[in-house]
Amino acid sequence: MGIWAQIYEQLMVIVLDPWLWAACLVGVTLGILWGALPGLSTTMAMTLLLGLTIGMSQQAAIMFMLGVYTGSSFGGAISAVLINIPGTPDAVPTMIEGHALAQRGEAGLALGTAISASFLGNWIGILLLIAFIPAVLFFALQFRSWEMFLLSLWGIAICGSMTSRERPLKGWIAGWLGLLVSFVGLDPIHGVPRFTFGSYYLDDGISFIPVLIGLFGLAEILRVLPQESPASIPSEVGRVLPSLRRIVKYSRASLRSGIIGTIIGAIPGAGANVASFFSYDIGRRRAGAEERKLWGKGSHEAIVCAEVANNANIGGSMLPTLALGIPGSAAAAAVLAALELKNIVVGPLIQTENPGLIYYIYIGLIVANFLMYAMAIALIKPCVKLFSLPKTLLMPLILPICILGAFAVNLNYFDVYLMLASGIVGYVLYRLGFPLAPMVLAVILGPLADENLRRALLVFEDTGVLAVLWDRKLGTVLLLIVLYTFYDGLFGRHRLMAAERDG
Amino acid sequence: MQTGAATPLQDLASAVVLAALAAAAIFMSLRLEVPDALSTAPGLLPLVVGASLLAMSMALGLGALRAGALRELNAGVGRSVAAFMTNPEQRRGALLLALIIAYVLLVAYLPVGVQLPVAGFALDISAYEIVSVVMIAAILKIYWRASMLRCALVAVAGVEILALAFRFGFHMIMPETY
Repeated sequence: MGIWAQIYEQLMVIVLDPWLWAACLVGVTLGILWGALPGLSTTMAMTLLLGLTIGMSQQAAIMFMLGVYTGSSFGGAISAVLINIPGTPDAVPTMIEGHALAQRGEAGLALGTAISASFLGNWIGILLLIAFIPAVLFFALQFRSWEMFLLSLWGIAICGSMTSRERPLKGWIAGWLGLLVSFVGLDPIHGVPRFTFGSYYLDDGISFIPVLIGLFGLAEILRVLPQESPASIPSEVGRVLPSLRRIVKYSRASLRSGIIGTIIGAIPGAGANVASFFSYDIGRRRAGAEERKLWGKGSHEAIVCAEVANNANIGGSMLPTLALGIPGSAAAAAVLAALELKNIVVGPLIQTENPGLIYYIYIGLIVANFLMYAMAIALIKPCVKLFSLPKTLLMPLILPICILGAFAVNLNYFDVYLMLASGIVGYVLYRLGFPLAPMVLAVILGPLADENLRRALLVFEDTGVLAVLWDRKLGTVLLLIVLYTFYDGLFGRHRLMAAERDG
Repeated sequence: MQTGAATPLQDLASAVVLAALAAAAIFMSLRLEVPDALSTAPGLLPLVVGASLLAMSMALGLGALRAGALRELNAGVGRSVAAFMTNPEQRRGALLLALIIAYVLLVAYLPVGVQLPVAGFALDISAYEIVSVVMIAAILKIYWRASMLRCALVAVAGVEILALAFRFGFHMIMPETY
């Protein structure tokens, strides 16, 4: 059967079965609500909701999980914009920009921009993949251990520069602290305990979710609640959907961010967090002078860059998952688990063993995308109304969510203590002027960097430095980019800030 | 969360603490076992990260000294500390932190979970739910400043919606006393 016949067949399967739409809608709604809860990540949503697919048919289970994936990837933006606590780690750039807009009474438009960008990002990811599957896969597979190490390092360095604009040093220090935290536990190559102080609780390492909940959720409560009269966001929703003119204005940024998100998604292990920060940084560099001044203070273009990238990442991450059986991200690993639960084996033989499944999944992603758009728009007004309640009422109610969210990771109360400690550290770091986002990103990327550096050094053992630089051209380009990021942070940033001040 | 602004003295204090932390990381990395080649040593990247953190903390400290951290220190650190401690916001912050620590510890150590017979079924109410309702009501009373009844009702509604969604929606067990 030809490709178009297969696409038509799968399209009809979905279009003609209302139960599949219903399964997807339930998945999208649960995903958005889960993602909107502070600190509860897409991966956690997919892992916990995976159990609900047991009683479903194979097709309904796939639609449900795709719905959860799409919904929770966007949901993180809701709490990020409205209460300054990111629902998911990749929503941190959206939090920086969106909450500033929300405080100015533009919460509705900030969320509307995020929704439209997410919708667009999903489309770009899906279309790019359908059009360029072999090319994207070829490029993604050039990333080996050395390149993965450099990519992780670049992610942390960029995040440090972006979140601590005038003092990148402080951003990098926060990232380096996160790296030290990520080394705790049994080392992945030899199983030697590192920084565990003899505690078996630490042998498995430190999960990033309690750290994220502590650093952003608890630290925000500690910061806001003691204030005499903490400012809530205005309850007027105002305009929600951005005008067509605005969408056209950001079309180049959208396309660029979509390409970044798709490619990073296709690199196994890189994930949406790296994608949103890369796109955010590159977006700032490419933005016009007027727009760049708004970066960090409430820029719609910045939201577009971050949200398009982290949603294009969904389509990207599905590619190695389906074509190679290697999950493109932790959330894609949950989709893989759902497929395995239904006896579907993915990998290079997927088209032979399950003809049409890839197209079913991509059509499913498109359906989930439409449903996400509709549900997100329907949820904006109630969410803005809910989160515009006094913060002295809202913040205490987030506390039990923080405890439950940290506990849910491993059903282990030790993670709650970890969340508490992270919250206190986060509050102290905040008071001392250190950004928190690089620390979380480093906790996530640290194990990836560590394992890949050591693997690369093992491979390079008998090779000279010059040979490595010459043989691994992609790695050399990445190395130069990493060095430039540090150089730019140390010297270029001062010039840029001075120019912005003069302007 | 945007970052707060730090004074040069705070930056200097941060640099000292960070340098100590980096030195400890270097020391512990060097003491780690090396089962195979040096290139795969478990302490390799921690050592590099520790050393670069030490360098960055020194740069932060030098920047703070150049910005007048010592002048600030001479001007009277005691006065700054006293002003910090008497600030009502700081006092409320300290109280909140104490309440949160107590909340986390009570969920872990207070065995107050109960089983209620409801229409022939045994309804479990975990220690997490009971402690959460009490602590959230107390925090609401102090910071939201509404009547005790309103605070209690909001706490019960908030905690129970969450607990029921997790328990029955996601089939997740509640944190209990261990």
